[in-house]
Amino acid sequence: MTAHRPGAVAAAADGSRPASPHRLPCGSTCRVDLSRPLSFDFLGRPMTGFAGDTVASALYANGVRIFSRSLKYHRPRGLYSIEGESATTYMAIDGVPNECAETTELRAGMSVRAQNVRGDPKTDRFGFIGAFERLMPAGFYYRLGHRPYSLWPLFQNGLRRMAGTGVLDPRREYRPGVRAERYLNVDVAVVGGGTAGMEAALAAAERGLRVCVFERRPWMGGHHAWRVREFEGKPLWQRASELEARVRATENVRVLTRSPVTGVWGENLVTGFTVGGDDDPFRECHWECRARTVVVAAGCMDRPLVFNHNDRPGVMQPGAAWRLARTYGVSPGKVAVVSVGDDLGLEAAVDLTRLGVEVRAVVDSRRRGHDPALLEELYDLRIPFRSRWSASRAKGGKHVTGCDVWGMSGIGPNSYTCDLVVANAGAQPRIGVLATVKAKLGYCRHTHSYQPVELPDDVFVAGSMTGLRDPGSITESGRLAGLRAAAFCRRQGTALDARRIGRAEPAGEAGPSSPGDNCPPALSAAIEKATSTLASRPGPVAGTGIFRGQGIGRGAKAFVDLDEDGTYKNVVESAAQGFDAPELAKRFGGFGLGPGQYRVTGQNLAMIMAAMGLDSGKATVPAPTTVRPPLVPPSLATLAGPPHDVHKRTPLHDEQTARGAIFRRMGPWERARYFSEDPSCRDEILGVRRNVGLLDSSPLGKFRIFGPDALNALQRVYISDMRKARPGRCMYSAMCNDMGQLMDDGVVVKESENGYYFTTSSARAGTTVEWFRYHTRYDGWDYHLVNITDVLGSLNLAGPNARRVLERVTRDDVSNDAFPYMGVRRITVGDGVEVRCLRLGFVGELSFELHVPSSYCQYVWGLLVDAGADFGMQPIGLEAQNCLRAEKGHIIIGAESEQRVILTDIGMGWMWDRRDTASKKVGAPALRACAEQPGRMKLVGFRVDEGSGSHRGDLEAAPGAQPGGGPGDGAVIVADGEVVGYVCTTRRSETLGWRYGMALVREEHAARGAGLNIYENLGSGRKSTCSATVVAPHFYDPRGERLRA
Amino acid sequence: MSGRDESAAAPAGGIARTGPIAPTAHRRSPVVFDANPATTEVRDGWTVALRYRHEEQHAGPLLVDLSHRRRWDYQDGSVATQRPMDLPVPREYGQVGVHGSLVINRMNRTQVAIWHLGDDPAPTPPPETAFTEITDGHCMLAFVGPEVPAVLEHLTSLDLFDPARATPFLTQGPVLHVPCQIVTFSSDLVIMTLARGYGEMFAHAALHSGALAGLRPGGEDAFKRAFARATATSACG
Repeated sequence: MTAHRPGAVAAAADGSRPASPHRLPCGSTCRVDLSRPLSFDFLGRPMTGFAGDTVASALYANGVRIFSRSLKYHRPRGLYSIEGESATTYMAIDGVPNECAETTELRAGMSVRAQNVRGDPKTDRFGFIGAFERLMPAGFYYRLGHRPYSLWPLFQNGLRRMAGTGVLDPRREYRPGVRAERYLNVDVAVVGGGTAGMEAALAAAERGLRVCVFERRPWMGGHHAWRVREFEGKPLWQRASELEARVRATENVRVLTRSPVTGVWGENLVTGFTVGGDDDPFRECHWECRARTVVVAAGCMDRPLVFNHNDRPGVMQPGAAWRLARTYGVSPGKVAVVSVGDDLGLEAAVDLTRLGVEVRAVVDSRRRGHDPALLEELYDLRIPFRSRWSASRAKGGKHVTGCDVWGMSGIGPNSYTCDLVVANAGAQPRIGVLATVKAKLGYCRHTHSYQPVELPDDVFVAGSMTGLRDPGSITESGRLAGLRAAAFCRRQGTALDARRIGRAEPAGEAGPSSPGDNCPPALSAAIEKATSTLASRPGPVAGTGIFRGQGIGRGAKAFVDLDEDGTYKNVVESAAQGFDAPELAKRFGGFGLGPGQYRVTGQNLAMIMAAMGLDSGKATVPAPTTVRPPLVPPSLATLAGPPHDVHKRTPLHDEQTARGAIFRRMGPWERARYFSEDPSCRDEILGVRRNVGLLDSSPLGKFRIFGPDALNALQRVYISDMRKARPGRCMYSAMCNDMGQLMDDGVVVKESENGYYFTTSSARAGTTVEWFRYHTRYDGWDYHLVNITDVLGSLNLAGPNARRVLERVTRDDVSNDAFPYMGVRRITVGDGVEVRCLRLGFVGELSFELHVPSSYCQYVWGLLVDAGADFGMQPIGLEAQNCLRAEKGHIIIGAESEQRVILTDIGMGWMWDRRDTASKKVGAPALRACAEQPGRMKLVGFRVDEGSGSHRGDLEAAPGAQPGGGPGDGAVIVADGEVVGYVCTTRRSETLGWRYGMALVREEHAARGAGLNIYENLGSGRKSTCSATVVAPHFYDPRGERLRA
Repeated sequence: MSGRDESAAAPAGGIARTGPIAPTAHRRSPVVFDANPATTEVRDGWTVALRYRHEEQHAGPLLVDLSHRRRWDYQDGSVATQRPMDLPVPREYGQVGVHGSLVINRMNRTQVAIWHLGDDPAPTPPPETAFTEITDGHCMLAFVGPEVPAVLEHLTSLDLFDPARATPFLTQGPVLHVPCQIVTFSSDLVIMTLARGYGEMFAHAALHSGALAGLRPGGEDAFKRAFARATATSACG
């Protein structure tokens, strides 16, 4: 939006007539551009607002006074706050529920609907519910409708339907648009772009620090931005505007407007989000700002006054009425009664009068401390003023028609006719950010607000939230905070370096003032000067402990929490039932649990509880409740971030896609699982068994290890005697963990005197280097590892015709004599691409595994495909490989092994070099202790007994059911009503013609020929059972003749 | 072997399909941009995009694929005293030395990475086991031009433009959650390498997020100009 420049309303400047009866000639502080009308609709009624309006200000300017209905009682609710402090103006905007109309900028074409309304907000059909207040005391939902408990779902659903806050359609895409995320690194993050925040930013930036300012409004200046009162000869808004221009012109200050902070996390990670304007390429942008220091200058907000019917449309906080007039040029009402507890409220009354609102009376709950100049202005304007009085009752039904005020000493009431009640009990700091930086807060009896008692060393507080009201004090406190932040950064080693901003460091700031201090003398002097200047100016002003008007109750509702319809009476009820602390009452009565969170309710609830404690002789100090992020909620889509799924693809992804591959994510990789819709992969399997197939196994881990101690490292990590590794031969071995469990397997090839090449499983490739380093960390060995998994792609050519295909792409001798099983050769293929070729047999057939430089993989794939075309060679996916290796009885770690079994339990104990104790092999002590331990689980092969399978229900169609029927992977094995194991992998073999599998069972059930009862519950009443017989786990080619062919 | 193709009518769909491919152009980058290169060159088996059509009208930042540039890993227990390829090893971790067309990054106590970024032929490393050629293992991308910091703000929380560090400098950490080795040469040139497998998706995500700051694919010529500027003004060695 471009209208957020002060003085955007031409009508005010030249005195011409405003655009609607509710618009005011508000002058230079206005942010609305009357020359840019925007059409929108409310409940289908066309309306017009202007650029710079919020939805709330535009509705108000169009005469809308009832925005929504309240959560519990369905009472009419209007504009009470102006910056989303309460949920009274949460509406459905463009179909999105719970949008805050107070902070949502108006755009052309918006469609606005009221929430929690049956019919029209004025004539809500559930408006009668408030009459049944007695049925809904505090915490009624914890007690009503629970007996008998079978009734509770009915009651609960009814409550939810009645009290819903908007409806989402799961089929609809809401608010499409870009959701960006951005990251910042700064020295100083300033939360709040008021005058204190701006001064802090400038003070730090002048020292060359990188600064970022988060400001929730579209402009900066805080509450000075709309005040016309003069300070030192210049209107406050003008001073703020000039300061903003300076800040924006400073190169090393990043200004983020429309950017509320959602929280401050560990190590000063400040998070927030920016709501995109017309010129932004995103709808919302999430920020993560890592800062060395944080300056909190979040300002203050009105603390509500609790009095009878304080929720009536027409009752609003001074800040809301004032800004409605000054910022948006909308008249809050014609005739007003003002009841306040601080000087800003008095100033608002004066200013509203000057803008044309007839203020009938001003009452102030304070006994003393009023600004005499403001009292004089009230006198000059002939506005009656009473001290120690406050509003006690708003009159009217769906809108305010009058107001009673009472004296604190019980005098009254005085009744006034009015359509606007401007009321607060004083001001309270916005403590949300302080709470998230883990500042310890305490109640200050001077300002009657929560103030930080203890702050982290790298957090500084400034501005009106410290109780300051004098504009000079506020800016000076900001300057001091900025200087202190700079000093902290300097102490932490950040150079206050001139070259950061291209100018010389301020004189004298080049070195520390004293050894160990690390704070330059000039900076120390600047801090001292700012401290003394601040001390010479007016300090924090006295606040008031008043929170309510006289005569609360008496047949009326006085709301402490407008979001959850929590009344003063409910607080009393909570306390009477033992929930007599704010944290307890908050949960029992729901105070502060609505969208507004602590903002409206927090301090008043604590003050009420303290006052009740005072009455009963208990606690007397208001205790703050915990404030949790997000302080302002971003949309869930923004938190989800951009739709990126950055994962790994093999060099052959496109080739496999072209061949119809169906991909699945396997860890970080996207891999071809099938090459047809047939989940049994029959054709792929038979192609390998009878002919030849080509598998992309590029994710296989591949490593170089070299150095004088490379062998020592291998000996430590592998369980075999790695001295047996020799050039030209693959040595198969495994890695265990300290408990003897199998962690990884692969082959090791000796390539030079101190150099080896080895492979790992795909899943372990990412952790192998750390695994080696961890297990050799105390040895000081000289060896080095290079992860070359991505350097080399891997193509597995397997099947009886594999050699014939390979011979067509290479001139090297790949005959069985020249290149036997478990051999490794460097061969040249095609136009001269040198590849490592490993003759392995994972799938149980003659296989050549080509490790090819990744950039050549597509070329080599093409060569092999062309060469295999005459044989009808087909690519195969991981599922086919899984079936093939299972037929052969080769295990996959994690499928046939788990944390209860060790190497010897799964039939791989032959790899363990039991004689070697010198190498301190990882896992060897555990293997020694457990290898002969009776009662362990063992890996067995099984053959499903023909005709034994039975199932109930539609098994073939059941999720998880195996093709061909029968229990699947993970099915349990039972004996005598007890689970004695489970199926690791089972398939029906297309080659063998029967169903086989591998299972982990207790040792007593692992003997060859033992029977197994397999059971699987497929859910929804479907189950599958079969019997099987334990056999050797090498079902196919048990003598290994085919892979040695 | 190299052959330059000034094809004026390159079809859409990326560099793999532009112009006649020399018989030895067998090598493939992990990155394929959805853009039309105006000029390509076959070099050492790679088809290299030198310039894209949109670059003439595009003043914003560019993402350049440098995966064809040769790179080596060098590890030695006493690397600080070594001179791999006759290059002095930077004293501190994170320091980068630029020596003509070669860049040497000190990664840790025992390891450096060497990149060849110039026009001259890449050197052949001496037959030492400490060298491992890792060209094929990585995707190498350069972010070139104005607004590069704004682009990278979308991609990583790493402080790649810390004014307290003298350029060029090395940062190792996640970009788009992918472990990367990143060298900041200047505010308009940042080069990073990452595991090749991530290359395609990484480049896609970078262009998607970077589009908010105007990022588009770029050819190698743009990188060469930026590299020449950056190395003329950066501290070398």
